[in-house]
Formats: sequence, C-alpha cells, structure tokens
Amino acid sequence: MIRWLLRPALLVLVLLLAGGLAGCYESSDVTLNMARHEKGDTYKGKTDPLMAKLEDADLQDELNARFENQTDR
Amino acid sequence: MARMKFLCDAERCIECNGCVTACKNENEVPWGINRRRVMTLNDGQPGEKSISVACMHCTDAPCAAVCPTDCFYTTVNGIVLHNKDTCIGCGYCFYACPFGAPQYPQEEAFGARGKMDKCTFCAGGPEEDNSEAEFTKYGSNRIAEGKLPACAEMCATKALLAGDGDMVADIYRKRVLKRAGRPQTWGWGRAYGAGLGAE
Repeated sequence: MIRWLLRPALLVLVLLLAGGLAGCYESSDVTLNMARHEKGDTYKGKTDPLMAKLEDADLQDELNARFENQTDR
Repeated sequence: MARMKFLCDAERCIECNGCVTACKNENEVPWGINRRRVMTLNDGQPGEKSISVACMHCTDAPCAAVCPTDCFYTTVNGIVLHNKDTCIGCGYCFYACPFGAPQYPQEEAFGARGKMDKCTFCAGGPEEDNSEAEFTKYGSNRIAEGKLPACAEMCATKALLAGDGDMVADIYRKRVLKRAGRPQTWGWGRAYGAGLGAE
C-alpha cells in the first residue's frame, strides 16, 4: 500500500527536481577572443619621453659600450 | 634594434643578494616590495643553484595582455613599462606573470592594493626623464642616462647580465663552451667523490 503511495510522490519529486534544475548548466561553447590583444596598440596613457630618446642610435651605442663592463675581467 | 634582456647565470650566482640591495638602493624601493629576488633551488643541499629573478621584460608580456586598463607599454628596445596613473591595482598582472614580478605596496581591508610596482629595467616610467615625479613613482631612469640596470652592473660575479639580448646570449654561449672544455681538476665531484653527485 505504502509503495503505491510513494510512487507518485517520487515521480512528482523527480519532476520538480528536473524543472528546478532546468537551465542550470554551463555552456561548453567558450569563445576565446584572442585577437583582441594587440601588443603595443592598447596603451593609451601619456607617451614616455624615453621612447624618442631610444630611437637615437648614439644612446644604443652608449648602452652597448656600457655592457662591455659586464663581461669577464 | 636591440632587445633588452636579463640573464642570470646559475653557475655563477652565489646568492649574495647584491642585486636585490642595488635595486632597492637605486630605486628607493619601499619596505615590503622586492622588484628583484634571489631564488635558491635545493637550498642547503650540495649542488644548490641560485638565480636572481625580476621582471623578464617578455616579448609578448602576459601582464600587458590581461591588464583591464591597458597600463602597460613596451619601448622600442623591448623594455616593458607601466603607467601608475592608469593602474587600478586589480592584481590581474600578478596572476598572469609567470615570474611573480608585479608587487603591491599595501594590503588593506577588503583586499585593496596600491598601484602595481615592478622592475623597470631602470628605465623609469612615462613621466619626464629623471624628474622628481618619475623617481617617486618608478625609481631611477638609468637607461636615459646611457647606463644599464644597477642590479646587473653591481653583480660581483657577473652572474646577472642585462643588455642587448644578442650580446647577452653571446657571452653566455662563450661561458658554456669554456666550461665544457674545462678539465675536471677541481670541484665537488673531485673533492668528495661522485657519491655527492654535486658537480
């Protein structure tokens, strides 16, 4: 007798659970927009005055000459 | 155009922390921030190796890729710098960086951080070169003066090299070749036998 009563109750419980969880899933279709980041193009702050100085070949030569101090004695 | 790079020769680093001290002194880095650290692998065991780590000025820097305010920029010779006026201290760059380079000056309630601070290759920031404002925010600008980073220039054993990547690689290659040809007349293996396996 009890088994016959429990069967519809179980059915209702399963239906409620299924209805409650409907839509509760995470889509696995993730779109990675890797093209968004373009190196060096995104910075919008003020320009570093050093950028212009580094274009100067003399400064680069000076830095390279300085590097000689790091070689073995 | 040169690409500025750091390289630490693990065979030469003696963990003296001279580079850390030089960096702190040169840039007046505040207490609690280490732009450069010396890491030791297998510490206390024979054959331990130390390397000096800071921002590696990546060619395609992940910190710049994840920054929501795009506060990073790269100079023509590959030095990765950032603008503290734009930084919001979100910490994304800290999670993205494989070297743990980004540092934050304070930890307050609710996880609030200050502006991010990191190694600038002694190239300052977007303020006027060698100005008071630049020094306060970013530290010294040695590159503008034709000098290389203080950490590398102060390294007593020449383990830490900083400069044009090609020149750095050339020096390291010569060292490796020289080591390979060295007769095994000294060292841990010779002194204590092969049991220690420290060579």
